[in-house]
Amino acid sequence: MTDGAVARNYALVGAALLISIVPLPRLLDLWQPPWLAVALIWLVLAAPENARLAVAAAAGLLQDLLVGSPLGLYALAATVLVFLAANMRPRIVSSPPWLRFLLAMLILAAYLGVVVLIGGWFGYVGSWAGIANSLMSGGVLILIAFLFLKV
Amino acid sequence: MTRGTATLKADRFRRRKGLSRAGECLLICLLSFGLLVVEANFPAIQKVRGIGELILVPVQATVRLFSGGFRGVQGYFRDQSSLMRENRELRTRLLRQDVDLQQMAVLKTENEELRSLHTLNAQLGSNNLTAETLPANPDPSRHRVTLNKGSRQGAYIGQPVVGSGGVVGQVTRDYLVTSEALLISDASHALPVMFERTGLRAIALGTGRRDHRLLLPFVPSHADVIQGDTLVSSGAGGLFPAGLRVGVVEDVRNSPAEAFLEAFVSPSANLESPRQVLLLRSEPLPPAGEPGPANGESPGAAAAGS
Repeated sequence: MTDGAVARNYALVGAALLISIVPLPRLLDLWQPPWLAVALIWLVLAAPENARLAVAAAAGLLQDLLVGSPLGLYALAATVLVFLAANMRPRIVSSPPWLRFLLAMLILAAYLGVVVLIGGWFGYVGSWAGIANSLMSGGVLILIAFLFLKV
Repeated sequence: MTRGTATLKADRFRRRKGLSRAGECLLICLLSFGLLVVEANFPAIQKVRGIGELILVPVQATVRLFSGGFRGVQGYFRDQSSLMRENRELRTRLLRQDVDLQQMAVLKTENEELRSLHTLNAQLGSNNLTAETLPANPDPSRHRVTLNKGSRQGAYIGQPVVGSGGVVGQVTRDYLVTSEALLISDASHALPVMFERTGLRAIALGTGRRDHRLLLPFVPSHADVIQGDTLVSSGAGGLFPAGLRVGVVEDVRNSPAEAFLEAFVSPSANLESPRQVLLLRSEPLPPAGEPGPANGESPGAAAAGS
């Protein structure tokens, strides 16, 4: 993979981070998708050699700083996500599209579960309803990524 | 190298790589968890966080700039939509008020008509019957109206019908609670009239035309008839009291070769859509001063309904 492609992949993760702090209209705000998680899943599937755990942790840490969550929360969740996605990648890429989507959703659910459980433990309030919204909007994003981006 | 050996080597590599990844993951997770614990228990780390956020200030500023633009666009569309909504509401209100205004104009006309009818009623005697027209005309080729007063209320055949502008017609059918009046513009109606200016008498025949014009036949061609002359009822025949306004001469056709001229009269009363009318009872006004000799009036031509 060329340096340009690597830079493009990391830029995508950076863009996901930036988008996650852009205030959306009130109606869409409830459906704020987990941009970083989706970007990381895409990175693992499309460019596994760039999907390093350290990169995921750094991106998660940046998200912690950007959104004001407890330091380490998103770092931990992003690391778990990349680990799971990287281990499941061979199965994911060889599966039919519906199973591929299902597995990606499973990884996303794990990521969101970590955020809610660990965050809740450290006083970072998150609701299951919000998680469900994020899961759904994240699912839509994953579908779009699978349809329009080369995975 | 056989295919089986290659697969085995790849599996070993993957497993080894997987193990190292698991270790790395564990390490990072522990570190992250440690960070969480430290932040939760040592508030001093907030300073470190503050430094970290300081680094991110330009990023946040950029995002704010971007989202400000987004909000600006959003605000533009919101303003646009609120303006459109407001515009819609105002249009609806305008339409409603326009309808109100139209109703007001109708009421004003009606009020004026009622006032003049009231005055006329006072002039003609107070025991006249006020009636309203009903929207029913079974034969559009005939000029007649249905009134909401019948024989029970005192309407009778041959009763003169007068509107705010002048003579409207006469009752030709009296039912129990409604009656039918023939308008003076109907082709079968004739009305003895008199020129207000000269006292010349004539018969005004209905033409049955849609413009409700009346025709004055058999007026000698040398008679002094000009456009704008006012016609009133002459009282001849005893049906219509004298002095009621009938119409204004609109057109005079006088040919020297002919013995009679033709004059067309525009009725004073609203015959197109009369609303309130008076049914006169047999108490005619005292005959107005009848200037000049009777001229051109057929002796037997009383108001006649078919």
